[in-house]
Amino acid sequence: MSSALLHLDQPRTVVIKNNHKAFTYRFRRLTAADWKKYYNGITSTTEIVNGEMRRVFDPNTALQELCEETLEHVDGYTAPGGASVETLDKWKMKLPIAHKIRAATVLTDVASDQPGDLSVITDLNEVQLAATWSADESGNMIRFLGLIHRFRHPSIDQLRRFNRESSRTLVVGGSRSGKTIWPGHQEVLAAFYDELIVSVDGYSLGISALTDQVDLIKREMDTHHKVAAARALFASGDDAEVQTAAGAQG
Amino acid sequence: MYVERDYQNLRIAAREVFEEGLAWKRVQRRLLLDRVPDRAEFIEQCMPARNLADGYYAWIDYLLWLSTMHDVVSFRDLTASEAEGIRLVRAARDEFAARHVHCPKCGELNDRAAVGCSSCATPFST
Repeated sequence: MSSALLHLDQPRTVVIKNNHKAFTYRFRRLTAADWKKYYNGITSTTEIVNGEMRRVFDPNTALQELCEETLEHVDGYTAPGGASVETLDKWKMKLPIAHKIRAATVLTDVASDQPGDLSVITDLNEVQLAATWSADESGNMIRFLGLIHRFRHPSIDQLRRFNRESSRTLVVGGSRSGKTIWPGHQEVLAAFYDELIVSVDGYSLGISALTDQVDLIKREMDTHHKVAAARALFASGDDAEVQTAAGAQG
Repeated sequence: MYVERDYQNLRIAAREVFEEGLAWKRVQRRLLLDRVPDRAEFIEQCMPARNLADGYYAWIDYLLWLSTMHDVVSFRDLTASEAEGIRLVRAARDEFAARHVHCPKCGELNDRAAVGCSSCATPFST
């Protein structure tokens, strides 16, 4: 765990271990476009098969592609003759798929980490995240706690947009036996983040801590952290939940 | 097919959701009062089956929330699918209300054709 600041503008290093051997993946800084492509590649469906509900949530192909798109260097692998694997043509495609998925899974490791009741400070909502970001010089992955994001309260229109986008689906193969495709709503969450963010703690850009420079936060905050923070905000109980029919019968 | 524009099937889903709500209340009452050996199996047996793909019910849940909230805040920029959706869930709610009556003794909701209350067994006058 680290009490240091998470450096948003630094490349990320992920170390994975397999059979007591360490493999180091060095990524360039991930952009909003990288994350958007990742989200769009996730498969999330439900359908009834032989009377049973079958749910499929598969991020693996998207994770593999995220790794291949943003990876710059690796250590721990060797090509025939002992040369660096990076000397091979299309070397990224030759890395073990399971390793690429594991490394990319670490890139996506950020989640809400609320210590207790959500605190409301002078009309602001505070969300706390925890994230694994990058390895230190010894190859140990550092976990950051206490990554604070403070938001204004969502308006009823914003809540409506969130509920609407969360409920939109596509059905293919017929209305009765068809498959429901659940599109992700990460882009909407990232947009809400930009609309509502007021200040952050725990992050830095260059040598300076990021605090309440809203335009800078919007431009530089990692998109996946935006999505995690906004998701925690809308799940915090500050919003009215979508009612079921049992509650709406009146 | 984007479910929000499939009004025909959304009407079916809305009717099912209201019936589900009533069935769920009855299941909860039974689970509270009686010892049931396998709760999950009991719930599965008592709850009516859904006939449409999952996505329809998610949109109906949203429309029910929107319909209630619209009474409070009167959204001015509803999309066509939201406006039509509010209309159809309210119609389904009205149809459901027309098919059911409250027991004069305990207030429980019963089918209009029932001869007595499913909860307190009070006979309904004909």
